[in-house]
Amino acid sequence: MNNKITMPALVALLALKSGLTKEKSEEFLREFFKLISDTLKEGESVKIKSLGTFKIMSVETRKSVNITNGEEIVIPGHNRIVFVASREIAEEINAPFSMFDSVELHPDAEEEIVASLETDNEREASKAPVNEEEFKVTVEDEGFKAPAQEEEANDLPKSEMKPIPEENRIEKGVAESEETAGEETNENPGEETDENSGEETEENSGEEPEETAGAETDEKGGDEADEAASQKKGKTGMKFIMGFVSGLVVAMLLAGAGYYFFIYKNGDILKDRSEDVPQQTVSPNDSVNKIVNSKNNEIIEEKVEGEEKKNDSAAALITPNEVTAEVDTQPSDRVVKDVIGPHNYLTTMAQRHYGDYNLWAFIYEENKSFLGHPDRIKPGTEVVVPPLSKYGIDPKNPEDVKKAKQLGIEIYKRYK
Amino acid sequence: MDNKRFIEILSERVGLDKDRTSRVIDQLCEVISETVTQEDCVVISSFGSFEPKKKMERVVMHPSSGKKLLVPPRLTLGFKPSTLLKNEIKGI
Repeated sequence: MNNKITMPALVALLALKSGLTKEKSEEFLREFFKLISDTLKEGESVKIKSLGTFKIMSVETRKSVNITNGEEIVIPGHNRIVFVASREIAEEINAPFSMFDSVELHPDAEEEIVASLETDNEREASKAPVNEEEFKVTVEDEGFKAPAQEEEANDLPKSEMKPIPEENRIEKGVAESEETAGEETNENPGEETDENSGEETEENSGEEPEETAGAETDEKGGDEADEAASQKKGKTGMKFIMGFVSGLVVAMLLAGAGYYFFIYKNGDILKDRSEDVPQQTVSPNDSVNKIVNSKNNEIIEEKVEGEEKKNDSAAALITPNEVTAEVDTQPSDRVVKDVIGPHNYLTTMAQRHYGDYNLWAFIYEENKSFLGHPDRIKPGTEVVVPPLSKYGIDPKNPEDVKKAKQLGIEIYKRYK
Repeated sequence: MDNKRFIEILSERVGLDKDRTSRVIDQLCEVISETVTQEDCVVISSFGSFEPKKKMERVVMHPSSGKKLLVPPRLTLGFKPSTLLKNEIKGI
């Protein structure tokens, strides 16, 4: 290890190997290297089949900086020797690492690997096999984690920003959690309205969502519902209705989001819930309608002018529930339709419905009979979003995502 | 200068026939390769040294497909010309 084999040792080794005498082999070696250097000095390159090639490369004049005093210096152009080992000898020397192949990296894993490369740079190359395996693991980890985190990050803001749930959303977890949330928030007000009347109902029904939200261990939900409740105590009926609506919706969505993540972790509970839900969802909607009607009557007595607005807001109050009801009756296996828009592409659909934009290729495949080039679909085109089970695809499986990418490439090839 | 011509000239200088010269060159290369494989350097005064070089693994971008590849570490045979030879070559 790290010994220097000098001329005498090399002579001895060569003599042993070739059967020449030591004198002869020494002469041979001296002539061998002398011939190489003589040829090089003439400016010619030397190729020795079994060893490699010695080449002369010219280096152009360039500017540099003196490290000690910072002055600019000019490095004059010169020639230098470059040695390229022959394939045989290179393979023989690289034998300890010959079993490694280049590995394709997941794009997200890049940064982490670059970072770990820097830290590992000083380790010995002989330890590299271990590193290699570590890297493979990190690559896979990244692949699994990244989409999940994105989902979490994307989902919360969505549910808070858009108070009215979209019809299109058929992600099983979300849809069902909204049902359950609706069920919980709606049931209680329904009971209250039967027993009580007037302002008491308003306050009670207002507070109920807050409590249920609290029960979901969503502290934010509780706070926001508090605000909503305080708004309700405002003087005008309009404010009360709006407060009630926003409070209800926010509580529903927060509870829904809470449930979504809860269910997401416990797959078993999901099944139980999904069986219970459809039976109960009908009555809550009725009860909400009752509340709205009773409130409307009350307020009409006070202010006749605001009638129209209240009806509108009452309608607004009902719509979210109707929407959830629609989602209820729609099993997630059923085919969903979506419309291409200026900001709604196949990829955005795939991201929303499947959680991975790469799966757009399957939406395209489902509608390929009337879609042209995937980049030139006219806005307003209605496409069918197939359930992933139809193609046996799991968005969390990196293999399937790879398949989807492959399919996407094939689709583009058709239009070349 | 290619391999054939090199052997021709060397065989004249050493006084061995071409076949023998060629075989001895191959054996010399084996010796160098064996030595370097054991992480030893072969130092020839006034010519230079052959030594193993470790290339660390690195991430490269495939130029046509744009994919990121992790290139494994490898050992190569490096040649470092002696100062004498280097300076003589410099001036050509």
